[in-house]
Amino acid sequence: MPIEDVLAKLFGSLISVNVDKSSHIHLDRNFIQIDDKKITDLKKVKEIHKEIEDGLKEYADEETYPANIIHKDLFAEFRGLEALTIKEKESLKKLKEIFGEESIRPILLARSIHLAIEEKKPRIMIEKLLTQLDKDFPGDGKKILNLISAGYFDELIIPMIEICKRQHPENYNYKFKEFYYSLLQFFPTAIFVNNDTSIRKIISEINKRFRLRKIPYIRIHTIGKNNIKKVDEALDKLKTPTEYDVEKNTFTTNSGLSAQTSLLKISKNRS
Amino acid sequence: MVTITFNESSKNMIIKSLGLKKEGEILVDNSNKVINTQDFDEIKFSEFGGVLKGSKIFIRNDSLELIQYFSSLLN
Repeated sequence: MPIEDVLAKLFGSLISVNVDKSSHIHLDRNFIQIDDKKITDLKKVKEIHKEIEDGLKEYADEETYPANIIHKDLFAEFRGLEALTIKEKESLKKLKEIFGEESIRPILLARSIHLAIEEKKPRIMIEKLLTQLDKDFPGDGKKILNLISAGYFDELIIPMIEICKRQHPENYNYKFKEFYYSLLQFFPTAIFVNNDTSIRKIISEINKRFRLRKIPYIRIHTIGKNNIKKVDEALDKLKTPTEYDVEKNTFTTNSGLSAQTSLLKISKNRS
Repeated sequence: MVTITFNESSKNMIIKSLGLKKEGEILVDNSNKVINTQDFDEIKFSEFGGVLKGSKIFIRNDSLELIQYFSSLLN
């Protein structure tokens, strides 16, 4: 039975509101909120509660209920994850194949927050989700969100799956995970160059990281020919007492953009 | 998809509507089977977070279980 019919049956002729497939019905002991409409007449509220109770009881022997029924505390996150898994199902499936059940979770939550920000969802909802991300994934959650917000997840990390497949067909899964986790582990040592990053800024960011004790390497990530040129110029101009070797990996992203990762391996650390 | 939410004031009504009851602190169904999460952990009344579509998946009021549910949809 279509969900609208089910709800019409549940509510009977007690109220006159439009319920569609995206409706949110909130039940409180003293009121009922259906999208923007609030019902506060206690007699009517009790009648609707009774209708819902009787309606749901009819599903006791069914495989599923006609709607998701969740605690209000979970609603913001539920809607975010629901929208995300509809919109980005294919890329998420690809990531899940590589990462598995456990590691995909912080990515799911971070991406749903990013989507909520992009769609300008209410500030209070976004703040609640950010608090949840910090609580559930205190280590990597915010780093992942930063990578997504800067566009690097879509433009660099996901395309890197295909790059790893091409470069390491036998163990691409391992190589990709190595790349991803080193990106998170050494997040403070990574530099992301975008259109707003000047050559001077790149040099100053490299020098700042060279001052860190026992830093093993710095990775400079960039997308776009102009940005790659800026990184190359910055490396030419860089003057530092730290000894290092440079390895450059250039590739093309799925959207056809040139990209480059420059690995500055520190061969002699001053600490 | 239509979503019904409840809060602490309406939790009892929802639990009753779903044919559940308390046995001590633990939730059980009308056949006295213990209500559990996808990981087969029992669910206490105080922890009850709802039921999701698809084989009546019961969850605690815990965002990690919500994420686990959506992750399971990616198969």
